[in-house]
Amino acid sequence: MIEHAGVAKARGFLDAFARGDAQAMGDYFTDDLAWHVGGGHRWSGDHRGREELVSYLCQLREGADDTYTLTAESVLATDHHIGLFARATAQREGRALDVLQAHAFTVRSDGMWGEYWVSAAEQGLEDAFWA
Amino acid sequence: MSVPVGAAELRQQVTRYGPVAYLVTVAPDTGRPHVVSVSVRWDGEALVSGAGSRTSANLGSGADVSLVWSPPPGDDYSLIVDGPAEIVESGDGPMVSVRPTGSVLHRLAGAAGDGPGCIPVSTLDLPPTTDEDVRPDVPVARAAGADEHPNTARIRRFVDAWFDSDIATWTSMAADDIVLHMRGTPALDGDHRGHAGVTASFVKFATLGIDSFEAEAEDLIADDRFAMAIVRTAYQRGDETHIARIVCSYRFDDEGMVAEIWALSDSQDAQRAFFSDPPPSGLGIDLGAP
Repeated sequence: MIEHAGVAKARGFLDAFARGDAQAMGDYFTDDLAWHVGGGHRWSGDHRGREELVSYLCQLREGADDTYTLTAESVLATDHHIGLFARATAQREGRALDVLQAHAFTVRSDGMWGEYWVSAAEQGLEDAFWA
Repeated sequence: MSVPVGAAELRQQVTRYGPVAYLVTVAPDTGRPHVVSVSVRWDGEALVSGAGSRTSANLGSGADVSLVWSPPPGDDYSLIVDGPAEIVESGDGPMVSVRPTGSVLHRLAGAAGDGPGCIPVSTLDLPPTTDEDVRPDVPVARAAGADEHPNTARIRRFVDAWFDSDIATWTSMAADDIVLHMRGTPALDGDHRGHAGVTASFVKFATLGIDSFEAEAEDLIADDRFAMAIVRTAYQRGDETHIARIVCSYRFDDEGMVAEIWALSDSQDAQRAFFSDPPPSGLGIDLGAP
């Protein structure tokens, strides 16, 4: 089966996150995207804006002393959505994070990502990590 | 009885009744009706909305449909618009386009006092679209892809069974140790484990006083290990309506059974508020230890 182009884009985004390349991360998203973080921690809730999203992504890395790692377990894509299942691991203040996350991206007709969701299967672990 | 609705008048009525309506289609082969909650906007002289795969299949190359709006608070009339519909391509993908040919205000059964049962609304000479009629975020309908992974059809069946409360079907597809992680819905929050635990969460849902609930998958993607569904939902309880798009995530076990489910809404505060009330019926159902 031919890989959907969205799969490569999602992997490119992961690479940008791994490098901490804020410019490259932001290039995938529309200016006014809506984005949603699940759970009950400091960044949970419904938000809007590319700059704010990139700031959040950078704070994830900084808040965990650059140990925050996303490892793709599966990337799914249609013309309209991308689903990225990734294992998130990190350490901070003697705590360790190891959770399965689902990242969803809504793909606009111009190829830009106009909406983003992220939530963990065991969200309570992530909440406790950032407490 | 009903009261008929005119062109400019129809536009005024649609504005008054708001963007949320029910779209009624019928399967051409079985005659089975299908009703979904949709967000409607004007596009020229047509009313357009998103729709899921079943609605798109019912429409095929074109069919007559009805759009039905519930009465606004304090009003005794539903707005009903009939017309031929077709799937059209837009910048955001395929949409359902309805060209109104008939419209009425239909009086609720049992409404107090006197009034005509049916008031016709003219559908001719519709005025051009105005900016305030346009809602930018109308969901997009998608048909199943020809080269989709086999688990996409499986998860579609699972999602349909889930939202239809078809417990026999979904349990046949769920691992014995399935875990449903519920977050952001205070009355239902927790990890519900096993068939019994998840079924109990259905029972709990039934005690929340929800008058109507509609859900339709806007998109589904899957591979051997995971699946994701983007689902449009609409809940009604009394005068309260909660509409949201939800990302539902699924993990399969090694035998292809659904082993883990979690979800995230695009309207978390509204969802939390809607599901924060204690069950009104007080049935006292014990969910058991998660």
